[in-house]
Amino acid sequence: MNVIRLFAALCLAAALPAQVTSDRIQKAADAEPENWLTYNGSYDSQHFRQLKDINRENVSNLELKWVWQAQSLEKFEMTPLIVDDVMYIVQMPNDVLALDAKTGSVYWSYTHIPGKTNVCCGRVNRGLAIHEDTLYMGTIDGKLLAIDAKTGGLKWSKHMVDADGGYSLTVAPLVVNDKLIFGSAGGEYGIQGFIVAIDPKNGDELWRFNTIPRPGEPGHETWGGDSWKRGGGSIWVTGSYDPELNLTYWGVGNPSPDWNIDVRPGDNLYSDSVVALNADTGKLEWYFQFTPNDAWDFDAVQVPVLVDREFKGKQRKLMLWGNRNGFFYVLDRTNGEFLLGEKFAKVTWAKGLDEKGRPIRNKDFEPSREGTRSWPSVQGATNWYAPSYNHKTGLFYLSTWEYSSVYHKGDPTYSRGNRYVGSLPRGVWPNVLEDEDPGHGSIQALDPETGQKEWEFKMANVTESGLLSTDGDILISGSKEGHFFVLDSFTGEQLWTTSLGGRIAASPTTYKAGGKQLITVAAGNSLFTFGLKE
Amino acid sequence: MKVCSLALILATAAVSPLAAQHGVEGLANPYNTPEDIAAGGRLFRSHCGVCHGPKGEGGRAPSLMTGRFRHGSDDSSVYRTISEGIPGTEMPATFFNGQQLWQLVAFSRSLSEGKAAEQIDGDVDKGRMIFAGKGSCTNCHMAEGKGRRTAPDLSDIGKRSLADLESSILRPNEKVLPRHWVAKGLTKDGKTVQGMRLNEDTHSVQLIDQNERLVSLAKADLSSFEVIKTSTMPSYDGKFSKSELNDLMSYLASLRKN
Repeated sequence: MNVIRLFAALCLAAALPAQVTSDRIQKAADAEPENWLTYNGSYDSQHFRQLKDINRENVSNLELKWVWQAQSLEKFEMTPLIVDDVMYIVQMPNDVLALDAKTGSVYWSYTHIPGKTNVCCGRVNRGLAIHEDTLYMGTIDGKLLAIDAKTGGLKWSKHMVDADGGYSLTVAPLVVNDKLIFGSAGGEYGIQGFIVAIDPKNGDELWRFNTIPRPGEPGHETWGGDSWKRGGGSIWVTGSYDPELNLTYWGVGNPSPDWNIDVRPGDNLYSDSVVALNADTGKLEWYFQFTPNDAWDFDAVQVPVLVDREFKGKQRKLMLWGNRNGFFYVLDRTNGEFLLGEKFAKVTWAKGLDEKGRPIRNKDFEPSREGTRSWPSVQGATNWYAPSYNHKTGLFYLSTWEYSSVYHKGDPTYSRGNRYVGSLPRGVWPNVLEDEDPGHGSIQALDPETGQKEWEFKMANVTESGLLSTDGDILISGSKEGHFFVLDSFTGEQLWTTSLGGRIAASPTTYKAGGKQLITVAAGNSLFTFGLKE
Repeated sequence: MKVCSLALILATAAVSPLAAQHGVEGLANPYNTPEDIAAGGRLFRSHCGVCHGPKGEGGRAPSLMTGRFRHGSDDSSVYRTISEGIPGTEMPATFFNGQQLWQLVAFSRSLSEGKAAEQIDGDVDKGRMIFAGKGSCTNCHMAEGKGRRTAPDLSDIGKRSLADLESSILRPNEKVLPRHWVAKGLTKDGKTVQGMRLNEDTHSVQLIDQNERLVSLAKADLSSFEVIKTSTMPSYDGKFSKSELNDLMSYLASLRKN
């Protein structure tokens, strides 16, 4: 290495981040809101930032600061990490890059070319984890990669799951107590789902929880016959963590096959559930199943939002959950007690919830051979898009769909590594120029105390964008149409909008770089970063 | 090459897992019997129809009923596409064995075969004259590069069924597709803007107005906005003789882009 290159390397090392410890991540939301150290921004996954340089009064002065264009046509579902002015991103499907968060300039890139895969919903990745000075990424061909955050060099790679069995890693791992926690996608391929904790130093497995219980494990009895062998229960959105309880919470995906319940009688635990696991042992502390014996593909793969607040006159540790099945839930996260459940969209598959939160099923709206139109649609009344909780307004914000699908029941054919769904739902995506009643998307602001809507921002099309609120009294989101906009977090009034020309299917982030607050969002195949006019 | 050797190679290509990746270029489908097509259909409905539609008519993914495939239409190309997927799209690779892949090729192929063109007793040339003359269709519609653009372009209308064409001529309001709805806005300075809706989103609407101008309106700039879901086309019921109607429908049925 010549002197100039050595000098450049030393400068780069100086610019790149200090060690990111578990303790630092735990304190980040309060101690360093200028950074975004984990997929959901903080362990409570509130998608709220205590930054207010950009606020309700000056948001109309936003301007584009930089754009980074990906060399990939895959859907951009990734949320970046921000560590001390450095942005870490994934270019679909599995390239990792370090950018200067102030300018978008590239420090380094690492390329992983996946082997053959069969994934249901695009060759996507949702993001990275960072622990100390190492980045971690699951790949769609089933590997876990450890990458040096300063150089982009591969530290180690470990085979985790079999791509030819329908498994793939798309979720950003969660770093808790010096462990990497994640699971596998593949709910449309008859996988046997799990959540696993891995040693970041070497990839060794520390504990494992089977989301589809094996023989002898509690919950196994909820699977008729040998249907558990192909039960699904995927993990593809990052969970949350409560340090006081030492519990990590994860939403579990749909049972397989998606739309034929004849082959899997029973409640099919822990599909469509939230599971609360001891972060050190993986032991199940409690679970709550939103949709027993799901017939509609209502994954509970949403972000668990953890909130400490007063509820019905009593201070409680709550979990707020807008579920794909059309109900908004409030749970006590210490024990999983059901506290409240209300519809936030049109729901026909259930008449309501009983006192324990179990749905009162309406069998008239189950999939049939001839097809049954039911609400919500197969994409759900919401999906994996990050919600936001704002402690100033006390409101829970949720991206929603008002839309239906025609659910057909078919005969599932299992073939290792191929789709195992058992049906053909129609009406997957609305189209404003093709559908008589295309439905619509919206952002809803819900009062957790009542589950009732405080305000709603309606869109012509549905939305796949996550939400972010800040101390500046703004709520940031986007649309499938490619509009990026800012609303008043108290009223839902639109304060600013711009067209980015490509669908927004990720969550916006906000942070500080060079001492200035910026907002970044992925739209189409590019990353756009906005800040205030100088 | 002896026939028995070729058959052995074909059979090997068909059953070897490696065939999913290599060695099928230029080969014809060795699994093409009615039983194979039926087996391919079962696989299709279970694995492919979610995106391509239960009958291959399209949906989230393209229709397979045209017999033309963007990534290669010969058997080996279709085989490769099913096996390897299409990078940069939602079409995934699959892990079917060689026989299953060929059966899927056979089924996909069957979707566009054996569909004889519908017949009608009419004269295409006379129909063309009616379209431009008595019917005054070109006052609004475009076909074969002639006419106006304020109503749907009919240059590829021949892919629709005869019954559908007749219904559109005689009973235009019976079924108005959302893409043919009319957008009407009133600007804040009192000007009405109206035309066929080309696109609409939360904040804006795009249309082609009566002067064939492309107009994009911000909804925030309008004092009122509505979408008209009825057809602006007059009914031709009783205005044509039976033979004139047949001539016109024959002409319309002949309109194909490719």
